[in-house]
Amino acid sequence: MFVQLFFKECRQILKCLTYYVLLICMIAFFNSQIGEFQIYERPQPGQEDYGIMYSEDETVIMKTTVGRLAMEFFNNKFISYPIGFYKQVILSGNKYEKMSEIVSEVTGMPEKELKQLVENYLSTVSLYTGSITITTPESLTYERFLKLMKQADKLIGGGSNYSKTFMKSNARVPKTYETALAEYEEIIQKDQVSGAYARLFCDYMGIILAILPVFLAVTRHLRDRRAKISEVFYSRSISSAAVILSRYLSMLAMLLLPVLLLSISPTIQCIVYGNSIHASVDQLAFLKYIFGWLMPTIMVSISVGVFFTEITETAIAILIQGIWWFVSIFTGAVNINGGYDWNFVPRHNTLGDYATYIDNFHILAINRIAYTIIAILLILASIYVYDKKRRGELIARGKILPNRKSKSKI
Amino acid sequence: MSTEITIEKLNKFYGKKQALKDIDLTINQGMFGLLGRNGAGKTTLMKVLATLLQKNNGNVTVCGVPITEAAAIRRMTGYLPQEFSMYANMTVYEAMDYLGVLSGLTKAQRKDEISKLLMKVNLQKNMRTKVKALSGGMKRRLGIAQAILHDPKVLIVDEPTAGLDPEERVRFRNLLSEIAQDRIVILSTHIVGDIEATCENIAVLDEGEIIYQGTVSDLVEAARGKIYSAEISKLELARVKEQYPVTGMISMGNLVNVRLVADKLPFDTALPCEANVEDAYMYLMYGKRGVQ
Repeated sequence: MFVQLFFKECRQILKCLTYYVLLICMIAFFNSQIGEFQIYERPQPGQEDYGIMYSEDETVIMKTTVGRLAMEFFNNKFISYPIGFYKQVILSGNKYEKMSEIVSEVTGMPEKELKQLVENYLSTVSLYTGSITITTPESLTYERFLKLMKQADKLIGGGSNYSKTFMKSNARVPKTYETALAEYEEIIQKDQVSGAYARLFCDYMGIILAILPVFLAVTRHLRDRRAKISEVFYSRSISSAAVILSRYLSMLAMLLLPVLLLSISPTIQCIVYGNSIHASVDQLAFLKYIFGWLMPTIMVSISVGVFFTEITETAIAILIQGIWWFVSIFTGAVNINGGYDWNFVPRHNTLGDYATYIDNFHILAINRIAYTIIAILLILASIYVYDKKRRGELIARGKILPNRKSKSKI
Repeated sequence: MSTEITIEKLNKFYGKKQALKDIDLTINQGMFGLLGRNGAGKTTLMKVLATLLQKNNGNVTVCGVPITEAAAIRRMTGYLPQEFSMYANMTVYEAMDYLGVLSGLTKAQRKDEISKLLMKVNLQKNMRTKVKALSGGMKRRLGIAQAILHDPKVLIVDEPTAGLDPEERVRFRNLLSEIAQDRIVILSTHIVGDIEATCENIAVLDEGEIIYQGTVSDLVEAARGKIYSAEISKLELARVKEQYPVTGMISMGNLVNVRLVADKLPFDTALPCEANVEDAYMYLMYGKRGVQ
């Protein structure tokens, strides 16, 4: 019986306009972000450009970071992303003095001399590109440098270019042929071509799948109220668990389906490319990543929609999920290249970087399991709420009977 | 197995407001009418019986099963709420099929039953009609069909004829009577004509209390000799309406033929007449509550 209901719910979704709007959004997002899917060709010696990379050389990190600090100090405009949002900080008074001391120590120059240096630099370039580098004094150790940067970040209010998270991104250096080749080999050998592309696919699709499913869930569950058929459903013999789970699983299936379909083209491209260079290709990589990475995201988004719509009989779930999505996307910016943490939308906005993925795999796994558990708990709570409503113990907007009068007439 | 509904000392509160007060009622197989004004507690009682509301105290059993066993009650109960609807974009057949799944019917059972029932409610030609295209009466007939789809022992029907045209109303009443031949059908209404046409046994609810329980003929009998008609001037009408419950008026030029309830001859020109169910109901309400 459950299976029959599941398929009936799937058919209902196919008749729902919201579903087609979501499909259009999903396809449009896919096309705009990863539509022109390009396989990373083997780098050749003597190429003009191999792209850029973030250096892990301490000297490079210090030079580039101090250069950026000098520039921001010169303008007294410090860029930061305290909770993921852009913010420009201007220091004054005591904070400015303290920053001046830090800048002097890391550059080994008094404030006046440093400002002159920056001014001279700016007069030599038509447009500042942020590439000024300043060699730090020999006496400055990397540990001391990190400590001073931590203080500088604190003065700015956190989330600055001197925070531990963002500091690495200061050290942008051109990629060498050897590095580019090593990365390529890593994609071919360790990721078996498709793994690297599947991660990038999940990175982008995760953004949109963290918000779209809630619309479908809210529409589906408000439909009973709009059609005034709740009482007819409540009086049937089917269990509350069967009603909620059939709806939930049908939405999950119908949202996973287009994602799986969208992954077919890049999978084929990977297979074709792999065959052309006689490399082994993981043909199920997209499937594995979609179920492991994206499915928990979809599950949570649907669960939030189902739970809050059942308990409030309003579309408030869209607002709740919208806020959660917004905060996740912006706070996730600090780990955009694969830190994962507890973020609802884990990011891996880089092709390859298998090492980061493997190093943080346990974090990602815990993250995804935790969100799956949240989704399951929300669905169990939804079943409980639905059952209470069926018995007249809970009415719209979370009010509990029997001490409240329902909207129905006596 | 018991084929009756027994209700003992049933109470239901909404906060401080008591919607049902010490209801004692026994309902046997056949049509049973629940009559009362809007707000009398009929819908609350129906919802308690359909397990859509929890009682505060008292005992209720449906065919021997306590009302607290919601799953078992739902298997043997069909419910048609006052405002029945289905997903507008479904066809009549799809709606029945969907609700059949919710009632635990197999595909084969649904296939058999749906055709039979749609024929019974005269919707066999509308199987592929979208729910949104049905008229009020057709929707109500679809409502009855879905309520008896799983062949329940008890059918609970709340205000089914409200808003129907006279022809549809008669058709609907006949349908209910037919269905009631082998099950309990509880018909809740504030329309006395529905009860008169279909029910032998009734209960009258007022302000959450049962103020009458018995047969329709006993109710009419109780009003015998208490109903009068008279031709009065239109100028006198306001005074008469103030003094007596008026159950009918026919205007004839400057005169009005009124039908009224009174314990004794209200005035010399009045003539005693035979009571009908509507008169008897008004007499009951007048006697119990002094309501006009």
